Amino acid sequence: MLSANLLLVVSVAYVAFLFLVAWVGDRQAAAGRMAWLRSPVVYTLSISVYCTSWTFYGAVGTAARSGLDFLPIYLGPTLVFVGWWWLLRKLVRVAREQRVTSIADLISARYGKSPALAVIVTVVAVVATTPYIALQLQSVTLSYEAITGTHDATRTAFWVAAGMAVFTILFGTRNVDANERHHGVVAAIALEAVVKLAALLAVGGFVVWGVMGGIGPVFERMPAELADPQALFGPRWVVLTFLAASAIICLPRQFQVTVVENMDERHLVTAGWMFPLYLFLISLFVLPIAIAGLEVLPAGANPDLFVLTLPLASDRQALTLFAFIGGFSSATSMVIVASIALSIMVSNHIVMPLAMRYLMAGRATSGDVRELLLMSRRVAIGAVLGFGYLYFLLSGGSDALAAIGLIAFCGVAQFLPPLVGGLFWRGATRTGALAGLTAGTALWAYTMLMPSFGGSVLMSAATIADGPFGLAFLRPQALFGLAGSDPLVHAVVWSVGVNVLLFVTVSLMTVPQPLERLQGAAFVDVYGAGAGDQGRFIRRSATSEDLFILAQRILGREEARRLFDEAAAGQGRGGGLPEPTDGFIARLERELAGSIGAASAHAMVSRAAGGETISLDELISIADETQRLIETSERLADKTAELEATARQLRQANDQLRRLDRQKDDFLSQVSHELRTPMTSIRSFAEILLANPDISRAQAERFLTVINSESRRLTRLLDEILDIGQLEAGPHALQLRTLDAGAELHAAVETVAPLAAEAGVAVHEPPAMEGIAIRANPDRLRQVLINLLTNAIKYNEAAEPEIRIGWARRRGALVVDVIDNGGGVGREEAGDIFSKFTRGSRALEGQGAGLGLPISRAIMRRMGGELEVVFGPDGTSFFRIRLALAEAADARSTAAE
Amino acid sequence: MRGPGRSRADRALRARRLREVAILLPVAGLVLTMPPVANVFALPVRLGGVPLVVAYIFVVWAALILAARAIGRRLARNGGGG
Repeated sequence: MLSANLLLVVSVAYVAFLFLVAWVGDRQAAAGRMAWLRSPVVYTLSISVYCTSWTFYGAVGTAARSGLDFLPIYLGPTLVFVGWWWLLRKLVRVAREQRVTSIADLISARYGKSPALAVIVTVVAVVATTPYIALQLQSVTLSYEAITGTHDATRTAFWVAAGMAVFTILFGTRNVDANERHHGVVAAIALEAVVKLAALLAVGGFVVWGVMGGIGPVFERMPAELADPQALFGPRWVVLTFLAASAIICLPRQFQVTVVENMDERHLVTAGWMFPLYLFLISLFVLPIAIAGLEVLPAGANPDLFVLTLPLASDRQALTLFAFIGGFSSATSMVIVASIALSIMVSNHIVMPLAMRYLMAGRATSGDVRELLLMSRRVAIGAVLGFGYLYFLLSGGSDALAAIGLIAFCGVAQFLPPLVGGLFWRGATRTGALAGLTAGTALWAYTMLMPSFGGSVLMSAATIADGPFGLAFLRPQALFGLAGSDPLVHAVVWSVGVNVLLFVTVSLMTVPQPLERLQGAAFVDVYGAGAGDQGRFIRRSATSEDLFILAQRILGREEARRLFDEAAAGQGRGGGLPEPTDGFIARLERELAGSIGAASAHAMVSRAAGGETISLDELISIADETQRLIETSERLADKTAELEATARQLRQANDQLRRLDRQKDDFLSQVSHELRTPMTSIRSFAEILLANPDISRAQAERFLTVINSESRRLTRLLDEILDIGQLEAGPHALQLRTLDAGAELHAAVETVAPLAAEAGVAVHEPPAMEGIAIRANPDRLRQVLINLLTNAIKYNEAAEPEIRIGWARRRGALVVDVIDNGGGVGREEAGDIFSKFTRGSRALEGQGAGLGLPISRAIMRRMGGELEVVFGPDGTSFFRIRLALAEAADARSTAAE
Repeated sequence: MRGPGRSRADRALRARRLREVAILLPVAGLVLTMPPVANVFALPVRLGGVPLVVAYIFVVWAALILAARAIGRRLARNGGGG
């Protein structure tokens, strides 16, 4: 026997050491030196808070009673972690996006930030954890008494509970972290994980090789009833695996260490195999220790204490002490994390809403909410341990450890349907989750929790045996005649089965609120973009001052200042408060949710910002998978149409280029041809002159006249080509002046008068064209007018040829029509006559080079006007020029300045 | 000859395979440790002194751990995201 004093001293020293580790961890985290705290190994070890004293002592107890039955408790979590890719990864991602603080917060956030769901989950979690904490108290008490030989369980358990409460309060509620992360606690938990594994391995190694003499001899002594594998893989095995798999996610403390304390999603990669390895090592020696205990220790020894009593019986004091510390570690780590997790839930989801209603009714009320939060958390930790102690007293402290643990497992398994359904099914609704959760919890309490007191509290022994009021079909452990061999299987099938059934059917029958749909989309589609940015969908208005006061009360002055400064900088403002945009309000709500939970944060922000409106159209566009698919394919179709249009334009441009290319070739051959004709005649006349020196003077003069006129024609042609090239490509603007339109027109008519007289064409000038000012270049304008008149004279083959000139003012422009009775141009010709070297069908071969009209049109365009062919209603056609009036042109240029 | 497009398609295919294996691993573990498959090994036979069923469960367990480790490392190397 070891003395009680030695045990106390060692325990206190161990706790002091843990406290030191936690303190150093917090200090280093605060200083930003978190390298070792951030390591995936520490993360994995902290998850092993799953292995409580139930594992440390109880697994051996279960193995001694029923063989391999202890294994599913570790296989279930193994399967979940090995499959981290599809569930844990999503859970961690969602939790980070939504700043989730606890499992109650996650479920409430998913279903439209429902306060009711948060309260229910919190209450169920507290009720389910109470037996679990009692179990830790019981095991520490039992182990203490087994070593010291004292027998005052009530007193011992009380001091253990009190000690743990003080320890946890000191540990876990020193401050309110913005993300509910407790670096120091995690460091201490990781250390405890190493200690309990080392202790169990040490005891296992000692038992196998020190006591039994090897693996072979151990299994040779295996009792026949443990070795019988026939009844092993039955319903109980399946149900146990399921319960353990759901517990590794749904237990508040597991959710805390796995999801909330997770600092890096990639840590899951390591935890995905290392945590199963930890469980593997923990389980390795369980069966050998159980066999050895049955073999070596006297009959009637408590199998739940074999880990401790085997080294004790061999008088190995150091090893016994190590085993005690291992069990103590597993108990304390569970109690610390569980009560921290529960206290967060209680303060955020129960105390905070009450405080909002009664203490902070007026906006003017000042004061730091964080003090209230810390205080309520401390009280909650004390209360949780108090409940545990009470349960320990009521349940008599004599149950097998495993049975108590399974009650907790089944209780928290009720969270699984709304949790998994919420992550993968958009159709899950708040009402469905509420219905399933309430019914499942009630059934769990009725079939499992209340009978666990053994008839002493709440439910009498007679009720357990015969049903309430003797109604046999309501017997808690054989509900509606479903009399299974195993009460555990019975309870799980009823509670979880009804939970799932109601969750699904009620969800299918109810319509989710807009906020639920938005949150549902954000959860289910957490890897896709879209719903994460709530500012897009929720419209609210608030003043920055109100928001700042609110943030300051919850986050503290410095943190709020930092957040608002950051947001102001992000909006491009040097100082002062940021604009209260929808995006900023959504971000603020998320930050607050990291401290007080989604439901409370939503309620508080709504109080400052008023009710939100959610744009349903936008919501539907993200909320409806089908809709999204349709949109995607519509976008694709748009893209395709766009591409087709571009291709069509390219084809048209290509055709145009080809036509231009052909025109250029035509133009070149035309130019060569046009130049060749005068050149040929010049050359031939020159050759005649050279070859016949005695040619008559009169003849020579005639030849030279031809040469002269042909050279002039050649020069004119080249001038025209240069002219049109310049007009079409030249950068020079024409000098425009204000001119009198009537005078210009008259001058042009005067110029062509001899030609008209010679051809016998009558030119009728318009009457009363005075005082009309236009903007034009006088030389160029006259060139155009003369060209048009000359054409009308030259190509007019009417019997009594005449030309009429008409004019009008139209929309700030002067329009001048040159109308002849020569037949006009055909409609099919109209497009071509402005092309170079194209002569109209009326033109005679050899007349002109066909450059006149293209040049005229180019000139008109350069002056901001136009030259076109107009078709009259009777099919006749005429040329029309259009030029801006001087006033209109002035006004336009003034407006442009 | 393999063009760059081909090898990128290969990589994408391998990454998808890897994710599928990662999803299938727990399913395989479930099938192997649950009835009826596990019942195949529930025989009163001993393997080097250790009951067959005990050895079977622990071997499956160890295999799951090793497979999870191998897959996890590859996923992490492939960027892990998506």
